Parts: sequence; C-alpha cells; structure tokens
Amino acid sequence: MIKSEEYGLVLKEEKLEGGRRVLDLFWGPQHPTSGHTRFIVEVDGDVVVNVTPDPGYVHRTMEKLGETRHWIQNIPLFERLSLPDAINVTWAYSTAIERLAKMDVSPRAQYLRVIMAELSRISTHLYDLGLHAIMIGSSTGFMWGFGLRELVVQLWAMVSGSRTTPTWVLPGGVRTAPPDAFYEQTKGFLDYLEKKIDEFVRVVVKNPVGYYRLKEVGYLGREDAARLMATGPGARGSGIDWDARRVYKYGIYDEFEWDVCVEDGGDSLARTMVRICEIRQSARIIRQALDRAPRDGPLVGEAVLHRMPPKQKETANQLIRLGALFTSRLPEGEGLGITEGGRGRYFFHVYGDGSEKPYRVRISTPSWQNLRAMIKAFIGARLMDLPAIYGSFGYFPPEQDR
Amino acid sequence: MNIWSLLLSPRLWFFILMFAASGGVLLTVVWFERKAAARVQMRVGPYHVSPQLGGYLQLLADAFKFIISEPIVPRGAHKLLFTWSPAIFVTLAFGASLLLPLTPELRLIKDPALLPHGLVFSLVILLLVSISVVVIGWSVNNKFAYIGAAREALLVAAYELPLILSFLAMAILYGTLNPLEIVQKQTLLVGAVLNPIAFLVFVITTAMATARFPFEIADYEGDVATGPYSDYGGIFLVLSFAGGTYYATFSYSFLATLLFLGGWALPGYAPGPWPQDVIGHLILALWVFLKTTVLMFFFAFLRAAMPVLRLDHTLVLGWRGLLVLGFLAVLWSAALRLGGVVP
Repeated sequence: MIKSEEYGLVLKEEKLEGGRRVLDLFWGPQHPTSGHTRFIVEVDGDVVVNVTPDPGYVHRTMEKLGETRHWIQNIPLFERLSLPDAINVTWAYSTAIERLAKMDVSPRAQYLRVIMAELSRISTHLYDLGLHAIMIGSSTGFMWGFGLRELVVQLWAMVSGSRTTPTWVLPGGVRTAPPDAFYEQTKGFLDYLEKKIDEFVRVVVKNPVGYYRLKEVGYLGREDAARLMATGPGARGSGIDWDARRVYKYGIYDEFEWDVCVEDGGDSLARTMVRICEIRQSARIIRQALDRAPRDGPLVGEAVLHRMPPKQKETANQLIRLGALFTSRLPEGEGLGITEGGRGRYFFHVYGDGSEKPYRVRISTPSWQNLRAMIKAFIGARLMDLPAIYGSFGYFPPEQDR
Repeated sequence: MNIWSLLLSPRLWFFILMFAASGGVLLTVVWFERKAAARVQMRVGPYHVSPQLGGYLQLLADAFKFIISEPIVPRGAHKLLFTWSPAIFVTLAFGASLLLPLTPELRLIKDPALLPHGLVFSLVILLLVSISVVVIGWSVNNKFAYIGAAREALLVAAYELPLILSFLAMAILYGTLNPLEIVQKQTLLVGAVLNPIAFLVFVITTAMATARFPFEIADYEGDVATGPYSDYGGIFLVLSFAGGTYYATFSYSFLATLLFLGGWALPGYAPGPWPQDVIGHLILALWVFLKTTVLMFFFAFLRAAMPVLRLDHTLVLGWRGLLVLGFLAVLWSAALRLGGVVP
C-alpha cells in the first residue's frame, strides 16, 4: 500500500564526491520570504553548503526602456527600481543628467533634496527592518516598520502629491515645494520615530529570541565584504567605513553634522544595528536641514530656469511643470550620478547623443552588488538562518533585476 | 429507564459542555490573539465581521471560508494518509481532554479507580499528536514538508522528556495520579506555587508541543513555508494547523489547569451531588474553563511578543535547559514530600 521508496528525502538527495549527500532546495520565486528571485540551496543536513542564485524573475529591461523614452520620462521609470527609495534613485539619475548637460542646482533645491533623500533612506530602512522582522518571525516588528513608514509616505504625499511614486527630483532641482505644514509635521514625525525605534530595538532586536537569531549569523568578514564589493549596510556592518555621501560629497551633506554608522560584527545583528543607527543619523540630518532650508526661492537652477516660458517662471518657486522643456534635446556627452541609498550605492551612467533620448543608460543597484556578498554569508549558515541573513542585507529583487 | 436520569447523565453533560465550551474558548482565544496582536502592532484587528462584538465572530467566517473551499490533494501525496491525518490530528488533540474530569461528577470515566489511567492516557495521547504531524509531513511528499516533519521529530525528542518529568514531579508532589485527589489537595495552595519549576517546564514544553511562538519551528514560514502543512488547504488546514493546534493547546492548558492551577477547587465552596445541584457544577466547570482560557491567552499573546527561535538553540534549550529543570522539579517535589510539607 505504501511504497516507502517514493517518499522521504533519501532518494531526493544528490550524491557528491567524497560520499557527501546534499539536498537541493528551490527557495523561491514562490516562497513566503524569498521575494521574486530563486536560490538553489544545497543543504547537508541542516547546514547550507552552497547557494546558487537564479535572479531575473522581475527583470523589467529598465536600461533598454530608458533608451526609448525622453530624458525626463525616465524619472518615473527609474524610481520603480526601488519604490521605497525613490528619491535617492531619481537623485542619482538627475545628477547624471546635470553633469551631462552642465546644469546647476538651486540652493533651495539642495536642502529640499537632502531632507527628502533622508526621509527616503528612513523609509527604506523601515521597509527592510520590517521585512527582516517578519522573516525572523516577529509580526510586531513588521507592523511597526510599515506603520512608521506609513507616516513617511504621508509626508511624501504632502510634498509631491504621491505616496509611493513621488517623481520629485528633477535635473536642476525638484518638482514641488513642500507646504509650511511639512516642516512642522516632519519634526513631529522624527520625534515619534526615534521613540518608536528604541522600542523596536527593545522588542525585536534585543529580544532574547530575536537577538540570537541575528547574533553570529551570516558572518561576512571585512576582507570578504571588500573583495565581493558589498555596499550599504552590507559593507558598513562588516567594518568598512564607506559611504557615498562622505566619499563623493554630493549634494550639501558636508554642511551638516552627521556620522557614518559602522559596526564591526559582520553578522546580521551588525547590519541591523547599522540600519537602526542610520535612521537616527538621518533624523539628525533632517533636523538640521529643516532649520536651514530657505522657505522661498526657485526650485530649479539657472540653467533650467532660463529655458522656462515666462508664465511658468512665475510659479517656479512653487511648482515646476514637466513640460516641453524637458523633452528637449540634451547635448552629446556622458554623465555620472552616484548616491547613497538606504541599501547602498546607486550608480547611473548616461550617454547622450544629442537627441531627446538617452543613447545608453547604465544602472548599478546595491542589491545586485550585494548579491555575491550575501551568497558568501549564506554558505555555512543553517537553513533556518537564511531568512535572517537575507533580510539583514535588505535584499530587494525588483531592484536587483532592474 | 427514566428520561430524567438520561437527560441528567453526567456523561452527556460533560460531552456537551466540553464541545460547546471548547468551541467558545477557542473563539475567545483566537479573537484575543488577533486583537491583542493588533493592539500591540498599531492595527485594529478583525472588525468587519460582527463590528458590534469587536470582530468576535471573525473566526467563524474564516472557518466557513475554509470549509467551503475545494480540498486539493497534490499529485505526489499519499492520498490516504494525506486526507486522514488532519482528522487524526484533531481527534487526538481534543480527545485527550475528554479523559479528564471537568468537575468531581462531570466526567467521562465513571469508575473512580480508572481516573488515574485517564490522566496518564491524556498525556500520552497529547504526545501522539506530534506523530500525526510527522505523518502529515511525510505523506505530503514535498521537500519543505519533509524537512518540517523532521524538525517536528527533533523537537518531540527535545520536549517530551521534560514534559513527562514535570508531570512526574506533580505526581510525586501529590502522591497520587487521581485527578479528583490532585485537585482536592490544591484547595489552599495550587501546584504552580508548590512547584514553580515544574510549572515553568510544563508551560515552555506546551508552547513547544503546540507550535506556539517562539517555537513555531517545524512550520516556520521563513524557510520551509509552513513545513508539514505547506500543501494543505481548506478543511485539512482547519483540522490540522489552523484549528487542530488550538485544540492541542486547549487540551494541554486543561491538563495544566488540573495539575498546576487547582482545577475546579474553590476554597469554601462545594457543590452538592450531581443531579440535585446542577448550577453548582456548572459554576465549577465555568471556573475550570476560565483558568484554561487565561492560560491560553498567555500562549496566544506570545505571538505578538516573540520572533521564532533557532532550531539548534531550541534543541539545546530542550536537552540542556528543560531536561535539567525537569530533574530539578522532580527533586524539589521529592524534597517537599520527604520534608512532609505536602500531605
């Protein structure tokens, strides 16, 4: 009645050299925690001996699509690389265009960009911390992360009119000016956020169960992190003091007092603590920027401003219309834009051939860059630790696959 | 035969009370689990079904939805075991509590001399539940399910001995296995106070046995995608994972109520014999269910407070921590007994 040879795992195992037997597990793309990607996990008993990533399930041909649209139309396209971090992505692309067309950025826009980019970083970190929490089984951390992020997207909606797809950073400046209420409510939000993040640490990270899910799990050494070009919290959690905001000095980050968060642990806990620390540092930067940001002034730099029709120039302090101006031709040349997003470095390299569309857009995203480092951290871990490591890198398949 | 003696048969009342009250307790506990978690997590929780009752009837809507959904048997699965294991699961999980008395008179086992056997058997049956989990994982014939089943087997080995030891400690403490006497001896001081180590071990092992957080390891969503139950849906899921585990928790909590929390013992109150004092016995039954519910509230609340513990750490906890604590509980009971503290 029961043909026992058809059941069980023994026959499903693969025999390797040296008498070892491993079991192939197809972790994803349809799995509660794998996201839209697949990892072929070979386990020997409970220990992961090899992981083969199989990315590409959400490849949306971003680079190729970018060549078919006008320069400005690529902004709403590219922010879909990583919606939680939309501002930092579009900032990198806008920087590339600014370098290409030698546009300047208005001083007011510099401050507004910093405020919104740091909100974007907070949003990404909350998103990743929330998903990390549900991956290690804490539904409370998940709900808190996304509950707090709800407040961020409401602030975004206040500024840009959209909760998740702001399309707000433009070459030369920003699209809309925040209302006065934004300045007050952001301060209130930051106070609440810092209080709640302390609670998050207490309930999820320092929880004895959660702590040992993260501590000494998914170790990535300093040399390995550098060799495999980990970025963002993946690198800073391994003791590498590298942050694009410090290294490339883009925007006006130099004007503010803030620290790069570095942890030496190299494990999931260290990467999580880097996130927590960066949320606090972002709040610090935003507080300074809110106080210093000029409440009036044009939203875009001179280069863009003088090309605007007079009727629109009158409202340039409030709103920039995405009109015919931005579908115009840009000069021949190339430009490079790098920003530090929540998950690491965003890199945009655009080539213009003098037409109204990019000739080529090269994108490098942090999740793609962190993939090899994450695989390195996977190997040797236990099967149950895979989600804890995966979440600690903030791995995001749509961003990786572009 | 007189119709009144039939209608007032203690067995009949026991049956009705157990089925009705366990359903009510489960409804309350699941509602509490959702509402308490929602309260912690900045949410509202169940609301749209019966808004006047605060979403109390949401579970009924969920159960109805599950029951009318199509039962799917995967191609590679062992059909017989796949379809029958959930029924066996819930039968064992709930059946265990039917062997215990609810009040001195309301019970299934009529012969008082057989009551000690009922107590031991209820524990044995509860330990068998995990075997049906392993059978479920095996019959699904899927790698994730099988890994989950293997984990369940490892966990059973880790929690079984401490659980039995804490049970043994209480048996030594009271010097009897008869639940009537056990409860009677707890009229002044309940077992949880007399032997807190055994109570702690029993509570932790119960959480492990019923896959409550932080021990939701065999069916951990993160890597094995609800493990043994990964291919279950509809009525099968209700009988095993979505409903069966709550019945197991109920039975464990009911057992713990008798062993550690004083059962129906109300100081200064003793009801008359059964057919004459129905109300008195109902009050005692309510008292027992109240304690059981409170204990289940604790297990339900763990969901809001805890992530999932690592498998290897859980096994270490079972074999090093709980086993040693179990032996300590036995020694403590023996010391109390030899010291003449307990009658």
